Amino acid sequence: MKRISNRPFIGAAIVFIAFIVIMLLQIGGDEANKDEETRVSMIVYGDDSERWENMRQGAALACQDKGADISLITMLSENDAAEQEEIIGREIEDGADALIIAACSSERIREYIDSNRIKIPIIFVETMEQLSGKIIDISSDDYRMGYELGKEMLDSESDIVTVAVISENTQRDSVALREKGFRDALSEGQTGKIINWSGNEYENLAGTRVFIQRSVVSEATDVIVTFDNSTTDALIDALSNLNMDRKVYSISTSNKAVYNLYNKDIKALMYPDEFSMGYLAAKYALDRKDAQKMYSGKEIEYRIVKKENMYDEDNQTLLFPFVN
Amino acid sequence: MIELIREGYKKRSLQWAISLSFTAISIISIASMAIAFYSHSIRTIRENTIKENGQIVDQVSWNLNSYIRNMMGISDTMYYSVIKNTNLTNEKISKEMNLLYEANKDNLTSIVCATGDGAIVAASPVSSRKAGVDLKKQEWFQKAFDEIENIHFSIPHVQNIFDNSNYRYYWVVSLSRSVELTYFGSVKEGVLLVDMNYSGIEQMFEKVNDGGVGFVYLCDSDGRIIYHPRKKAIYSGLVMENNLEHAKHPDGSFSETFDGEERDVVLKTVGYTGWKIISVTPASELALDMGQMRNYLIMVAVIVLMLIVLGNYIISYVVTDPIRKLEESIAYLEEGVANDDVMNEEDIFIGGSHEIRHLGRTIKSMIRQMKKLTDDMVREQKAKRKSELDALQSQINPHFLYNTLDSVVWMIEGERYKDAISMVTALAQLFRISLSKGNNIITIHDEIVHARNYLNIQKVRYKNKFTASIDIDPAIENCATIKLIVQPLLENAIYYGVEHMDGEGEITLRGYEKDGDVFISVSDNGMGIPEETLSTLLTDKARSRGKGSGIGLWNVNQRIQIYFKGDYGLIIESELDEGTTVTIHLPKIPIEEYRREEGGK
Repeated sequence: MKRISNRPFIGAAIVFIAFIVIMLLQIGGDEANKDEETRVSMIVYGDDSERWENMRQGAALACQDKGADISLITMLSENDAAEQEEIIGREIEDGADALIIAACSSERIREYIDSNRIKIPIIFVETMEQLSGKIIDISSDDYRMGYELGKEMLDSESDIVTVAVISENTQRDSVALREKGFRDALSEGQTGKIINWSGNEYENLAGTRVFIQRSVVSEATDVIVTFDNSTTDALIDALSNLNMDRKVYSISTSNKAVYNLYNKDIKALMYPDEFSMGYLAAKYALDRKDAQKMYSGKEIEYRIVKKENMYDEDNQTLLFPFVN
Repeated sequence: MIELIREGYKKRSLQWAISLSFTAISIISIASMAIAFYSHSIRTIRENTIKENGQIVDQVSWNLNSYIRNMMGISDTMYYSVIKNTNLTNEKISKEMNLLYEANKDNLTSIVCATGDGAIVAASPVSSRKAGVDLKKQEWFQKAFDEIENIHFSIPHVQNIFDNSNYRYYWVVSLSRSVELTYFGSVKEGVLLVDMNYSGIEQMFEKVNDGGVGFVYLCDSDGRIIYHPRKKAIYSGLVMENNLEHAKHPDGSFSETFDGEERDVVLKTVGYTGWKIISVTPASELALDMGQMRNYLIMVAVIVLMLIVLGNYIISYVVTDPIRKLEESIAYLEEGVANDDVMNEEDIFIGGSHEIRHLGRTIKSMIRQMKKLTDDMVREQKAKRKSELDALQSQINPHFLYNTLDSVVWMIEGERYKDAISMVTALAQLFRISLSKGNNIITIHDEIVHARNYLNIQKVRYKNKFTASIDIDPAIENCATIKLIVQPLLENAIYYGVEHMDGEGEITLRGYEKDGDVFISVSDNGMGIPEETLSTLLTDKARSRGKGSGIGLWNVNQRIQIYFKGDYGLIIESELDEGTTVTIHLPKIPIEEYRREEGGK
């Protein structure tokens, strides 16, 4: 007589046990995932966290959608690439799952990233040229912003005005491109004298402010142009200290610039949508495929805002973050 | 495909078929049940969520109504108790305004009373007015005159009246109304503005949106968003909201598909303002909540399924195992029958349920009857054969008798009375042995005596034309043999071997043991047998051949094979002009042993 085969019993038992184990692992995994939240680090230059609030809010919203946590890390100085490199290294060591970086020096940070073969997703906010591999940047068209700011100035001012271009922080590709765009626009129009105030990289706002004060005092100008937040703020402070009025054309997102747009010197402010930059950067950092599907080819909006239109419904939401 | 499944099904065992069928039915049943339960749960959860969201919307609506009524109350108090019928120059206006502001400053940004041409009459808190601000161009101011007698509610905007230090700005919702200002007896048009802190509304909704599924947002009657947890992303075009459609929709709940996503929406309009509180629950968020339950449901379904499969297997095994064993025992029996083994009904399996046991017993009974029938048939065949051979054997007697009596007649005619007496005596002895009390099996000794008598008779008859010698091993004399098997060989040796040899014929009868068997050979030196004849001597054709009865050799061979079976029988060797030897091959069985065995049967 043949004996009954045990194979079906053994097979059924193996399938059963495997299923239970998989289910338990999955349930356990879900619990573990709840505990281990994805952490995105946003490493920015400068020591003013308020300056990045709009961008942080955008990133925080995207992180909230994905159940991730965002932390904003500022530096002690404005332009210390070594410090930013150290922060990047430390964040990776501390287990950050993705990095969003506003590079204080495009070249230095690019080299650092390239040489360290970092395996977590890295997204740059603000323009970074010559990026390698899968690293991307989320930014407005900086050249275009500079160019349109130049056109605005040409349209608004007379042909003989003296224009001082403050060329600070050009180690950042975004600032360099803005300046290039502005100068290209100027070359297509008619202005008076163009003065270049540049060549000095100060570690803090005070240093830049003093440099600008000296420049303003030493050279007569009608129009002064700046291309980034810290330089714009330094210029506003310098003019305030000197109790002097100048027509300022600026690319900036600082509260000070917005305040001065209505009340004082700033004639036109080019304002990029940093909320969208932060939102998209976090989206890309957390789920590139999803982000590409939703936002591939989308450009970060920027607006040229003047005193007359700054309280328009559309501009208000851009210039004044809801949470103050 | 169905044919393939059917064919595959047929090839499988009964247990497999039962197990698979039950398992398939179980899987379909459990899967259907699980799906039905899951669908029902989803529907229930969805309905409950909509219900809960409806309650949340009601709660928010109540809170927002209270908040708005409070703000309207401030505006009403300010207007009807203070401004109306009070001269603008009266300090009472500023004083009362400050009191009202101080009492409600958690919810208020400012209270402003302005004339129709945009001049600020009173404001609280007191702050410096922004240079160049034209109140008449602001929406809240214009709307106040558009909706006289009503309070206008703006959408959230940044207050643009006062200069705030430290670059601060305030998001506010403006309640504006046209008022009548009394200035030294004359009545002028003016606007009373109560700027509500937007953060008050924001916090109210953030509390609701903190946790739970979906979100709640607020828009005005035109669909302009007042609060949305993703308002900034919506303004930036990163996220879409169906606010314009929602604004047109009457209060209640409904489902929609927006931006490729299915959503449940609950709507409620806030009295007076026309604002709409909208709760949106994306189905994907509900699905997330359902994920855990789904996993547990799958796990329970699979566990139950496994148990059912195991149960099916055990039950089908218990049910079909006796059938399988019965089938195997029948197959074993068939195999045995095919190999000519004895049919043994005891091998049939009897067990399992009473139906199977009954089946087994029936088969067993059938086999027993078949076996009996077969045995009877064999026995009948054997008896028939034996009777046929006995008839053949009986043919010898007249044949021999005729020849012998012929010889006796011949002797008497030749007055050889002694020889005749001797021959008749030998014939008598011959018949005595032939009778052997009816036994067909006798000792070799008796058979040889018989042969000797026969030779004696033939010698007389053939006037000693041949010589005969007999050499028998005494060891085999007591062994069993069939009677009258040597005599036909001697007869053949005489008739076909030495009859015409005129005294030179020699016949040798030898008996010996070899390899445990008994051999009795009859040799002559006659002319031998041609090869073609030799080959047919033991075949059936030999029966109708030659001189005399012609049945001697075939008869002897058949009888030996019937009685002893196996390889026993005659061996014929012959060479032309040399002679012929016919050897009887018998098993060596002592006569006592043979009789004992026969007695046992």
